[in-house]
Parts: sequence; C-alpha cells; structure tokens
Amino acid sequence: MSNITFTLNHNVVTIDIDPTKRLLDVLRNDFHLTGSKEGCGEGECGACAILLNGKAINSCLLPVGSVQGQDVVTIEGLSQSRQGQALSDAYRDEGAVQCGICTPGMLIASHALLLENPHPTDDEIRIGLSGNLCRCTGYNMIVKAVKKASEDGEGLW
Amino acid sequence: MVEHFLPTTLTETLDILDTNKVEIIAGGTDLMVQRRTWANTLPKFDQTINIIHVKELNFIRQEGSKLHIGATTSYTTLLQHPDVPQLLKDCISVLASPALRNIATIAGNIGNASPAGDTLPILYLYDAIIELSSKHRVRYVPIQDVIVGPRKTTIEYNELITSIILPLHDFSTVRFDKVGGRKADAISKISMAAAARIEDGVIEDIRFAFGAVGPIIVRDTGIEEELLGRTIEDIPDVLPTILSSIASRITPIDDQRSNKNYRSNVALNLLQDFLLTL
Amino acid sequence: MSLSLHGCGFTGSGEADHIKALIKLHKNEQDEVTILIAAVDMGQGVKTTMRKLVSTILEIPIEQVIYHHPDTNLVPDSGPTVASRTMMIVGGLVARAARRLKEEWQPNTEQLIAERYQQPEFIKWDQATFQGDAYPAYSWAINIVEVEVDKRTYEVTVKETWNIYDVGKAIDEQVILGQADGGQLQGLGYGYLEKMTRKDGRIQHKNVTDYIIATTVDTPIMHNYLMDNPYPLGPYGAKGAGELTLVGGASAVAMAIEQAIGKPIKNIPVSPEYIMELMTNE
Repeated sequence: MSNITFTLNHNVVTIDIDPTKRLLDVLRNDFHLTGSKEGCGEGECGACAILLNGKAINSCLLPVGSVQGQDVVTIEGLSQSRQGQALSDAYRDEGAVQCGICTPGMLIASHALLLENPHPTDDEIRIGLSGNLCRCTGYNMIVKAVKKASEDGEGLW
Repeated sequence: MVEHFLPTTLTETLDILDTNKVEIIAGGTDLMVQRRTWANTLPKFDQTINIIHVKELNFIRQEGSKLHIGATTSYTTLLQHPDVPQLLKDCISVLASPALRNIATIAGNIGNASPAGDTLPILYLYDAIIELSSKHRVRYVPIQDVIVGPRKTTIEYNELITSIILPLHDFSTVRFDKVGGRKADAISKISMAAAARIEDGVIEDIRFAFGAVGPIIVRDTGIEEELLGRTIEDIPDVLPTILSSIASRITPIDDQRSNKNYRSNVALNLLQDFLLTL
Repeated sequence: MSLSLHGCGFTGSGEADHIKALIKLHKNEQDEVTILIAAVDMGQGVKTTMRKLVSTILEIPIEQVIYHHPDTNLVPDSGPTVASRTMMIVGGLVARAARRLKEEWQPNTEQLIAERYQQPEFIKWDQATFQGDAYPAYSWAINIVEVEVDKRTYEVTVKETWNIYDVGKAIDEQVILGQADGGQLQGLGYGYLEKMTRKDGRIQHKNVTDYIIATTVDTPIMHNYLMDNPYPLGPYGAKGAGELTLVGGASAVAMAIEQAIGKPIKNIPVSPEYIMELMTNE
C-alpha cells in the first residue's frame, strides 16, 4: 500500500492504496465517483476516460500510482465547469445522447479536443473522438454537438 | 512482502531494478490489459516499478544526426515535436486512439514485443539503437537484437530501456501503411513502413519493413540492396524477384483478426504499390 | 440499394391474446398528468415522445406531464419495451386516454383514466394455421450506400448513404433521426465489419478489441429523410421505428461491394479477407 496524493476535481486528496489498482476502480469505489464507466476494461471504448493534466486518458488502464502529484478531472468535475455546461447544452440540443453510457467519456474527449483545438473541422472532431465507441447514436449528432459547442462557446476554449 | 515502487529519479529506478524482481510499467496500456482481472479487483502483478514519474526519461533530443527519444515520452508528445521524422508521425497518427497515445510509449511497444507492434517496423527501418541501462552499465543494442520473438526480448532482468536512438536520414519518399479491422482504434493485421531516397531517378537508399507477418518484424537489407543504384525505370523488371524474395521471408499466421493468405497477398500488394509509385 | 420493412407490434395474436396492454393516466389536484405505462426509456427517447404526445393532446405545457421510470408497483402492465410497439400500440392507448381525459377534464380534481388494448376488427389472424395479418402495420426503408474498395488491401470504405424511412409519423423527428443514424451504422457493420466466428465451439471474437464495430472515422456521410405515411390507428399516424433502421444496412452495403468488385457475394460480413478470396479465385 502506498500513499497517493493527487488533485481530484480541483481538490487535493490522499488515499492509502495499492498503486496498481486501476484509477477507474479507485474513482468508482473509493471516491464514489461513478460517472466514469467500465465499458470494456481494455482501453478500447473510451467510456472510462478522464483528464490527466488536461489530456484524455482511459482510466481502466491507469494504475493509480501514475496520478501521484498529478491533476485529475473526471466527468463530475467537467460538468461543474462552464465548458462542461456548454458541451452538455450542445449535446442536449443536438440529440447526441441516447442511452448515455458513452456520454461521460465522449464529453471528456470532446473537452480534451477543444482544449487542443478550439475550432476543429468535422474531420478533426471525428479523429478526436475516434477512441470513444458508441452503439446508439451513429456519432453524427455527437459530432454536430461538439461543433456547436465550439461555435457557441467562443472564448471558453 | 509485495512492493510496488514509484521512483522519481533514474538512479533510484536502476537501484530498485538491481535488487528487486519487478515488472516495469510506464504507460501501462498493454500490461494493464494483459493482467486485468475484474471490476474493483487488483490486476495480477507481483511487484512493479512504475517509471512514469521519472522526468529524466521524458525527452526528445536531437544530437547531431541522431534523434534520442526518452523511454517515457508519450506518442502524443512525439506527434507534436518538430524534430520527429514524418514517417514516425504518420505511424503514430493511426496507432490506437487519442487517449491511448497520450500515455503509451515506444519503449512499451518494444518491451511488449508484439509481432503487430506498430512503431516497430519504423524502428527497424531506421536501424534504431536501443539504450539499455542498468545500475552498472549502459548498453547500446540494435533493435533487431533486442526483440527475438513474440513477447521475447534480450533485455536483462535489471535493465531498463532508457532511450531509443534514431539515426536520421533524408528520405525523398516515406510511407506507412496500416491495415487494421477498422480505420481507428485497431490492432494491425499487417503493416508496412517504407522509405526511399531517389536522386535524379536513381535509387540511392531504399528500405521496407513489415509488421504482423511473422514472429518478429521482417526487414531484409539483402533484398533492399538489389534495388540500390538502379533507376526507377528498372523497377518493373526487378519487381517479381523482389516480391518473391519477400514472400519467402514472411510467415504470417491465421488468427482471430485475419489469415495467412490475406496477410501475404496484402503485404506484397503494398510493397508493389510503393515501388511502382516511386 | 435495399428496400426493407419491419413489422410493428407483437406478431400475430401477441398483442390481443398475450399482452393485452393496459395503460393509465393519472391527473392530480394540481392538474399534473402522470403517464402510467411500463415502457422503459433506455435512450430511445420515449420519456420525451410520450410526454410530447400527451401535452399536445391535452394542450398543457410539457412540464405538467410526468413520466417516471416505471416501477412495477405503480404502473399497469402495458407490455415489454420491444417489438417496435411502444409508440404505435402503447402510445396509441395513451393518446386515446388523453383524448378522453381532455373531454372529461375537471380542473383541480384528481382523475384516473384507463385504456386497454383492443385488436382492431380488420386485423385477421389465425393462430392455429399461422396465417393472416402478422402485423397491424409495417414500417419501410430504402437505403442507398456508396462504397469504395481498396484494390491493394481489399478494405471497404463506406463513403456516403442516402436513406428514407416511413414510420407513419415521427412524434419527434430528432429522436427518429437519431435512430436512423445509429441503426444504420449498426446495419452497415453487420454487413462489412462485425465478424464473429467460432472455432472448436469457442467464440473467437469475445472482447471489445476483437469484435470490431464502427468508430467515428468509419462512419459515412448519411443523408436521412423521413416520409409521412400515417397509419390511422397509431397516435398522429405513428407506426414503429425501433427496429426498422437496422434492417437495410447490411444488404445495401453488401450489394454495393458486389457491384464494386463485380463478383457475387454470399456471406456477410463482407470482410477484406472474403473480398480477396472472391477477387483472386476464378
């Protein structure tokens, strides 16, 4: 067991834990932040995505030891921000949510994309979301939502 | 007592490796899948050393005509760096997914030694040298002597890949072809890295390496030499020999992703296309 | 191009003899109307569309229409959320109940209206011989798919599709278009991407890495159109939509590939390995 201290949704936290425990499990079971989903546990589907130092990472593959001293933002943290609100509003308006299981990861990936590239083309949006699988929506409305957020959210990213 | 180490310096890391039996984790994107169990249960590890916080290993440095890439440098960092060769960037941009690229490393691709490792054909093509460090010495080993079989390397128990050294070359054409099950987020069924330097229609340098068509990456400099000094017009005449030489060097398998016939045929089609469009 | 159809509601005598759907509308003293049905919203949008239906008929704001996730302690059995039946059959009953409530409306008074499914007279089905009208109505689709096949690797790129769907009447267009996008991508995948084989009795594609579904960059440009073709016994003419959009994609993409390579195709998914076999064998 090791003491792992990191910033979680803007608060400094410390946990005594096996450093190989998957961050996804630590978030869901130790911190009760169940927004990140285990869609596959293999790093394929992106439903577990969080932001590590502003970059999207699949938390099902991240040993919690890797976040020592780092900055982690989950979907819960993103939703509280103005950027998260802008994205959620756009997703709602464009019909980008059906069952919702991919949505937390999609929002994280969308935000990570806009942080790097505030005015992406449709192709760039698709590439940015290419690691997030969705079975319900066929992706088109999600792509439109990210485009809308980038247009309506001038200055947010 | 089971221990998991989280060093922050290289010296610490090499000390730990020298006296403990540990598995090395950097990005973890292969290892964490291989060792997974169930939700809320620990992955199957004995002892581990997580080197992701060793800042000294996160670098890209051009020294003379060689590019040195630190072991924990992520694919995304490589993609955004001006000194990284276009061929490597072309490969990285179709490898895995954005979230995986943000933390996965070339060193991991080497350590995992999968026959389908996407950056490996490029390392072979560039005659990459791998810097292997232990507490007592540093070795420089050509990539083809590091990987000796599927999941088998000659890295010693107390050694760590500390950097990947790419001798840089001026190529006039480069190409990376990846064939996966879909256009993103896919494991390669077959991949080819190819590069050439053509001056005044003469082939001054030409290299090609194939992934996922054998237990290790296939590159045969003898076959490449057949083309050196020839002109582009010569290629159609010498092409059948080149293709049949390569055909005899590749030994693809049937698996859940594809089959031998497909892999052989497509490897040769890709090479033919590269050579005929020079 | 493919032309496809899907039956709406339970087959044959299912609705009449087995399900016998019952729905209720409950109005409280604040004139809030709660829809009491067993339909589950799993993302297909029934909480939106059913409330839209009731608020339109009753001419009250949608905020006054309530629909909780069904609790079997509290809702009657209106049948399972399957068989492309929710809007046509259950929604049909909800619409009738709402029209009755509108006629009998007493402000600030608690009211409860119930409606049970009655098989329309014109539907003739013989359960003993399995003959007659299998469904009260069918929904239809045409899918046109354009593909490109790489001659070196035999990989397929689905470039663009043009599709028209007849679901009678879309209660919410965005909801139906969302089904069109998602259903088609799944249907296309069934046709050219999603391989699942068995070896010695074991499934070979048993995880998300090996079972290949489309990503954002595998998705074609889709042009989706809806046409109205109202079914008299569906609410505002709505038929079923839940399953329709999946049906046509596989055959359309397989036929497009067949046209591209000039060889007859007999299996799906039309994988690059299969295409190579067809193109290199005489």
